[in-house]
Amino acid sequence: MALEMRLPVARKPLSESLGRESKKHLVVPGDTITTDTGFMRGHGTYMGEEKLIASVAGSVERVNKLICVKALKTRYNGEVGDIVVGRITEVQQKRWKVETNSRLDSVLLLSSMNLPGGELRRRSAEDELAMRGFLQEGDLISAEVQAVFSDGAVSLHTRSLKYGKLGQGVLVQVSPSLVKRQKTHFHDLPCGASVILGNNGFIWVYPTPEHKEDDAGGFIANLEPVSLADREVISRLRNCIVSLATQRMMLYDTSILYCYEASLPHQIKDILKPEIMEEIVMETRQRLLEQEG
Amino acid sequence: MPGDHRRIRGPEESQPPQLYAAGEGEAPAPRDPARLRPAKGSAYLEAGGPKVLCAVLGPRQAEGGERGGCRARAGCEAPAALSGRLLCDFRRAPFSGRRRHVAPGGGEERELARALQESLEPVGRLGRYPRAQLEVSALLLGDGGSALAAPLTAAALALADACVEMYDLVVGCGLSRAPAPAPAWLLEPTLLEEERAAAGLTVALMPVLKQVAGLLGSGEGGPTESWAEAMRLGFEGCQRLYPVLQQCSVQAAHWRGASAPL
Repeated sequence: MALEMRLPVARKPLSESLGRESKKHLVVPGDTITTDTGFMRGHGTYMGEEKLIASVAGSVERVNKLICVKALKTRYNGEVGDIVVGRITEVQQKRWKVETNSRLDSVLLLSSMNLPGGELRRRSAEDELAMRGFLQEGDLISAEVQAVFSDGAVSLHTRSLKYGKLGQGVLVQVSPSLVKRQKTHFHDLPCGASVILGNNGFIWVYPTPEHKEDDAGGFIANLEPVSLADREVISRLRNCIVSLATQRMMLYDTSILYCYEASLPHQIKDILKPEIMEEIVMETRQRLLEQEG
Repeated sequence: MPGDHRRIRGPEESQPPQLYAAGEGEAPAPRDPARLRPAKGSAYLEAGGPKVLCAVLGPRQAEGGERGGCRARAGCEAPAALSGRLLCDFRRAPFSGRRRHVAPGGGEERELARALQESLEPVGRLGRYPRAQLEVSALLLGDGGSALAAPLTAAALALADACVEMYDLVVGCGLSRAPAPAPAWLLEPTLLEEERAAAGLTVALMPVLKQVAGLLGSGEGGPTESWAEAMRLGFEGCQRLYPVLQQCSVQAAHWRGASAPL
C-alpha cells in the first residue's frame, strides 16, 4: 500500500483562500454588540445592563432591526417537512430512537412507520413485538420530520414509499448549515449515482436502483454486489462532497455535479489533497457564478 | 475486553525535563496565547507552567431522561422543564508532575472536577438546552502552579469553540501567599512558590459582567483584609488576561472561515 506523507505546513485562514473582501463582525460570548436599544434581539444574544451582549461565538447578522449572532457550529434544529437521514440507536416500546446530529435524540413512532406492502391498519401487539424485524440498532433510515416538540426533539415519519431503510451506499457527515433547502432532496445524478441530501447534514450516496417500483416500501435492503464502475463514481462523489464541505460551500445537486465534473481529470484519491481540493472548488465556484448570470 | 481509555499510555519510567535543563532562574516564562484546535469544542492552553487540554462534547441527550407518556404527542411540555446538565471531568497526565502520577488520583481530581463544574454552571445558558447534557473534560498535561485556574480558562474557551450559549467567558486566576515573614500575595505562582505557600486562592471571574463564578481557597487563616486584597489582585489578573482570550477566540473563528457559506 503506497502512503503519502508531508511535513507540517502553516495553514492559511479559510477566508483568505476564498478571497472574501467583506469583513464579518466576529464576536465571542460576553462581547458587546451594540448599546443602541432600538434593535430587536434574535438568537445568540441577550440583554444585559442596557446593552446587547453576544452569547455564542460567531458572526453578527443584521436584518433591518433584528440582530442575531450566527454560531459557527450548530447541531441540527428540526423543522417540519425536512428530510433527514438518521441512524437507529435504540428500540423502545412502540418507538425507535434515531440519531440525527441534533441536541436531543429524534423519535420514530411505530404508528408513523409504513408497514410492508403499504397496509393501513392499527398497529397491534404483534407489530410491537416484531419491531426489531423492521429496524434494528445501527440501521440507517431516511425520513421526514412530522413534528417538533417544545424542547426541540424531533418526531419523524416514513409514511411514503420513498422513505425507509437505506441499503448499500456511503454516508458523509457535514455541518447542517451547508445543506441548501430545496424542493426535493432526493437526486439522481447523471453521473450514475443517486444522492439524498439530509437537512441534518447526513448525506447518503448510493447506486441508482434500476427498478423504481418498490412494493416493500423501503424495507428490503438491496444487498446485490455493486459493480466497480458504480463504486468508483460513488467514491468520487463522496470525496467531492467532503472537499466542498471543507471549503464551506453550500451543498445542492448542481454544486455537487459541477464539482464532480471538475474533479474528473484527477485520480479519486488525489481529490482529498489540499491543493487539488482548492483547485476543484475554485472551478466549481466559477461555474456556479457563471451559471447564475 | 474494552480498552481502558481513561489512562494515558506513558512509559513506566519518566523523568521531568527540568533535570536536563541548564540551571535557569525563577524568571516567569513568557505566556503563550491559548491555541484553539480546529476540532469540535476543544482548547489548548499554555500559561507558562501549566499546560491544559480541554474538550467539550455536546449538547447531547441526557442519559436517564424521564420518559413520560405525554411525550408521544407533539407540543406537550416536558414534565418539570429541565435545564441542561454540565458534567465535568478532570484528569492529570502521568507525566504532568515531578513524579509519575498514577490515575485515578483519588480525591484531588474529583474535588477539582466539582470545583470546575460549580464555576462553569453559572456561565453557560443551560436553560436553553433542556434535557441535554454537556461533557467537559480537562486534561492537565503539565503542572506549574494553580491546578484549577488554567483548566477553568481552557474550559471556557472550549465551550466557546463548541458554540455553546454562554453569558460570558470565565477567566481563572491563581494566587498564593508566601509564608511569614513576608506574607505577600503572588499572582500566578510557579510550582515552587505554590509548594512553599501558606495559603492559596483561585478566582474565577466573568470579566464583562463583573461577576464571580467561582472561588476556591485553602491554607492558613490570616487577617480578612489580606484575603480581600488577594481577591482584588485576582480580579485584576483576570481582567488583564481577558483581551488575550478574546483575541484568540476571534482569530480561531476567522481561521475557520466564519463568513457565511456561498
